[in-house]
Amino acid sequence: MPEISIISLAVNGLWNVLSPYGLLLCTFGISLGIVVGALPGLSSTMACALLVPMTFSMQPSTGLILLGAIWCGAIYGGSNAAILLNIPGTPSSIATAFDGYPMTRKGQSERALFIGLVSSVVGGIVGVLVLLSAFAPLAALSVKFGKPEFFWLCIFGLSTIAALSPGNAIKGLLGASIGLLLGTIGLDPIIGIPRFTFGTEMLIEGIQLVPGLIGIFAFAQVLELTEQKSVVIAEYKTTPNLIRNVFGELFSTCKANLLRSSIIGTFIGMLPGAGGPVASLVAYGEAKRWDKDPKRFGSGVSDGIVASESANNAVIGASLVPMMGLGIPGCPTAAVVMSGLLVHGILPGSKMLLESGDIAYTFIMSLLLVNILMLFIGYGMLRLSANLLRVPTRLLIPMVLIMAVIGSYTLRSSMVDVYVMLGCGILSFFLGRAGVGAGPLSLGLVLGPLTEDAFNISLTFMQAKNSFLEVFITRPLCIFFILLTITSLCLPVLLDRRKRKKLLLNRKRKVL
Amino acid sequence: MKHFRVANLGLIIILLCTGILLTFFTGAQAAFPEKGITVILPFGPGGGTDMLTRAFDVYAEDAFGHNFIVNYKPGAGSAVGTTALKKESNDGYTIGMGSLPHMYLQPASGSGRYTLDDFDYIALIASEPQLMVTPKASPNKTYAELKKATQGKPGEMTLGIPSPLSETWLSYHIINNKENLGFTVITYQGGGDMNAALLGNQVEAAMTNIGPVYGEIHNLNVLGVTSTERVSFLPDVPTFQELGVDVVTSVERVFMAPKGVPPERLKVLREGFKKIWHNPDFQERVKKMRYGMKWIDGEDVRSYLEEEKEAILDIYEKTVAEKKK
Repeated sequence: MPEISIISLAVNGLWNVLSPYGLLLCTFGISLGIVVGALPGLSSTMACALLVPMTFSMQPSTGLILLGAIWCGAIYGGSNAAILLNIPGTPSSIATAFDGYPMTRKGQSERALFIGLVSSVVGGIVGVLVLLSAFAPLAALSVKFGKPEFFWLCIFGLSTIAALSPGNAIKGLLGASIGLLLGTIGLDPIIGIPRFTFGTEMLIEGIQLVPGLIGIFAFAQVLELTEQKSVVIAEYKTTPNLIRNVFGELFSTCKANLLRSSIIGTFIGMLPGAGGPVASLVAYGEAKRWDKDPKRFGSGVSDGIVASESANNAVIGASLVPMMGLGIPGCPTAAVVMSGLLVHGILPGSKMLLESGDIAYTFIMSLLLVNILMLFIGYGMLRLSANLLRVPTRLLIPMVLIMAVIGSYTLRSSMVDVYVMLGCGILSFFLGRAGVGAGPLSLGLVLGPLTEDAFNISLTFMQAKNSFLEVFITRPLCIFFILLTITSLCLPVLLDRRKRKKLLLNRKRKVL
Repeated sequence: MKHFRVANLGLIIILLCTGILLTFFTGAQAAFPEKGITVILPFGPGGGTDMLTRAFDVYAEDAFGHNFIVNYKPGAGSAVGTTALKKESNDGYTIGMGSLPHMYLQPASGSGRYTLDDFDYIALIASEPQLMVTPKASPNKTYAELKKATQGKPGEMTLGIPSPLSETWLSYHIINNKENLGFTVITYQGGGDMNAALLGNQVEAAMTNIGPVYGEIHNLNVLGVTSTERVSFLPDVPTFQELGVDVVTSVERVFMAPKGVPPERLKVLREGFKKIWHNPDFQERVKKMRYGMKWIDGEDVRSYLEEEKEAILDIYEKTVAEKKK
């Protein structure tokens, strides 16, 4: 009876985690993760990679608990910097800044942070529950998602540009195109010919995502701040009745958004290769699309934070689905966590349940516990990080600059990434002046290489099958994403037209 | 006044001399290495090469008195890290891991700007064969069946490899040159990506290292292995030689340093690595991780590499020339 054994494994796992040592590890991991995640430049992948060697000497399950806790903490921590400074602490929290920072400017930093925390916890739990309940069959499904489907998913992701560029769709498209162009720099992935490197060795590896994003957000923001005359970024005000206020809002008006974004995060997380940045951007785009008044997004609404943060934390549990089920890491951080298992001779995959099910379930249950604990630890640290706003800008600027340089350099111990960061920052700053937002720019940079890889591989398949239709169109999921993209592009136009017609009718009536 | 100055000058000269002598003596006495040796890894953290290096690191304190400092420089299938190692200081404190056949193919294709002569070799430490596999659901469960299925329809079937211009690329093309399989080769971005395609039944076959597929090997048909003898933990998988295809390929790892390391330091490095590699505890550890181990002494590595290089570049030229046609 496999089901009974799974339940007993889960209970056993929970028991392992609830030991004082397990709880201590979780607490330590979450706190460390939040701090590292909040520092711009150190992503969750980097945080886990730096700690993996430390886990080599630990018991496999203990090491995993620590890595899982750091991962969850870092993804939430990333939202802190995004909300307070407009600098996403990790690539996964890009979309959090869109509404989080405006809220800070309005003096609602505490509320924004707490909304981010609660959404992270809810998203995280949804992801873990999916992992817990059905990782084996879901993993088998996730590998059916081929490159052509992935290509259409990317195209659908790109269609959210409209949602990310409030006001001016043309400028949004321009920004995304520049982002996509930046993504083409470097060696061509198939033939290996250098593109746009201007004959130098420097750019042969292309623009790495992390330094690119640090530049686009952190360095551009530093430049922005130097122009500001006020002493601090924004006034820091405490919100009265914070807990009741936020819980009340999230579980009444934001309920649907919370659920939808968690599901989007879970779905995208399960697909090998996409990960947190794509999930949170798509969830944000969808939240805006389904909203009654999409125009309010970007001005500091809770729904924006809810969408991004619940989606990126849902990715954690979900990206472990293919890893636990088939030994395929769903995202770069999962790959790092997987190496923590491999080094102990444990192979994640379909045999793991039989061979080391106790370790697998201890890990899954620890993630569940971590998410619950994070609510309390995060709340405890919330005021602490909100105090960042009290730091005068003249001190904040050098601090952020140092972190940005360190973060870019440590990625590959290379100065090239620092120059890339500076270059992207200056570009983003001036584009910002021209009204081209950082959102579409980063979307292009995130999705560009993914889209290109999926497209290239699909093209090779097309060559082999000698049929465009068979590879690109006549697959159920391809059709689904094509239709989704078409609706997402046409819907706003149609709605707008209908609105205008109504207005016209109303006016005509009035005239008559 | 003048005497004072001369006396002063004398004093300074004496002090300087003792200083120089002292540093000379302490310098001569302090054994290399005085601090941790930096290892440049041309791949990212968490991969097979990382774990292999970490396994060495566990015993580094025994052999060198200090742990390694591992420095990741991934990119372009190890070309970035290897090129970077060439430019490092040759004082013996910076070494790196090199991979073959990457170090033959990358300079030839232009993606790596280094040659075999840019390095001093410490040891060849590992060697692993490649596998040809098909998804479990595939009708082609043996090599003979797969070969039969490919005949008469060149380019219609697909074969996945985990990265461009790597050992798997090479072993497929060596087999293809002899056997005319004519697959359309799909180049994935890494082992995980390729594995997903394989398990999801999206490619008809794959050429891969053992590491990425071992966890799910019961969900695949393993058609053959490119070693001379069967692999100990895959006893049912025939070698290609047994299948009548005379092909032997492998991916090999070396430790090396930028050329020109002082001979006595190079000796310390070679002896240290030899000591670790031959430690039974170390062997036990890497066996648990299922590494294929191989040892060639540092002095003999270069001639071995030069010999291998010629044969492999021959195949490379042929394959690329054919593609251009």
